[in-house]
Amino acid sequence: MHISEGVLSGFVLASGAIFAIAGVAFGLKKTSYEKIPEVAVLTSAFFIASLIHIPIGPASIHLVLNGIAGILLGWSVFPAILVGLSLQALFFQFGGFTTLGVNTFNMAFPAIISFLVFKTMAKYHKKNILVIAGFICGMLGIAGGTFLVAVSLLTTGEAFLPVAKILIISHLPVMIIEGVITAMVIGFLQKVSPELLPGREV
Amino acid sequence: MRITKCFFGLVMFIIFYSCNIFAHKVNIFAYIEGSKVYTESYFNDGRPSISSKVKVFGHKTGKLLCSGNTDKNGKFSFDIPRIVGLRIVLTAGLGHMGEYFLSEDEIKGVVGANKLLNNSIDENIKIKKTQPTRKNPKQIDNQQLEILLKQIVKKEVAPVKRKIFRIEKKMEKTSIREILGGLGYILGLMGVAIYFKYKNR
Repeated sequence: MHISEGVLSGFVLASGAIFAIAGVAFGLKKTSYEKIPEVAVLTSAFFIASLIHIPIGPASIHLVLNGIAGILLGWSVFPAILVGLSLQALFFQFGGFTTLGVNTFNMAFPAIISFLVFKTMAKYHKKNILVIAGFICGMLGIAGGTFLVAVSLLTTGEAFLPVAKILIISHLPVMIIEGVITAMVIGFLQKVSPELLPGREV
Repeated sequence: MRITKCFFGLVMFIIFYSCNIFAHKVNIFAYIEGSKVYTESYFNDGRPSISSKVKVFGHKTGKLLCSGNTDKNGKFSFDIPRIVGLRIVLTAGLGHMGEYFLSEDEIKGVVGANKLLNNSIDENIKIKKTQPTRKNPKQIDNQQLEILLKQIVKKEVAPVKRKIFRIEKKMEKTSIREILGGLGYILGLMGVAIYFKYKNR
């Protein structure tokens, strides 16, 4: 879901950059000393996830892992995704440097929503609630991302509804796969170190 | 810390799993043959980019010279519209875009050579028609020699051209070096972040 260089108008690029800068600044402020290694590990996972191509459906798609990154990092997900996307642009030529702001916002904002939804759901102490929340939030990350990409492409003259439809349909497999991955990771974390999960801090 | 180890394990697994798997950047390559420009487009994973829009712009003027759609093999060809540098832009939809530049010199070179070749062939036919019998058939004049040489060179160079094209295509693929380089950057940035946060504590 990286938007390439030269596709978007200056207005969209600028507003994306402003939102991204605000998010990154807030995220950096919120990142505590102890959290930095976790941020780095999830940045690595995000960086590499884009290489895992899923050969299902009509479009060329790959894992994003923004949902799980959002759940575990909270607001620190903004700097993590900015670094991940910069390195992807530098090394893999995905996206580009002018679209960095828009792409960062498009991926990180749904991650924040995943984080908030997960935190809210985690407050209910029911059986398996965390795993279910993980599945939903993993899917939310991708769904929100596709929605924002479709909104960004609105200005290029591509009609919103058909584009959004293609994006959502082509990303359905990724949504489900990421939901499952996120649920599995959350289930695992719940057993070994539940203090990492938001809403369950000690 | 245990969890960090697990994640690193996962990351390492993904690296080795993903060595041959590529994501979704879209590429376009172009080469000139005769009076036509041939383009090929494909995604990073090697799949052709089917029925995507290709637009050809003048490099300096930015004027749209011609456009069309790729076929089911991701190919599209067009006649050289003008002897100027060409910027060939591929839009694969959903925010994917690729570009390729053909320089003026490259086009000039090929077109010039072709013109020379065609002219001399024409002239040669004329000469042959007017002079059906030659005194010494083994004697070859300079012009004929040039044509012959050009034809031979063209034939010999064709596989090299194809090979260069293949190498160009291969170079676009992600290698393990780039992946590890990126991870190295992340580790370095982590160090920088820890340094500053530690100082502020």
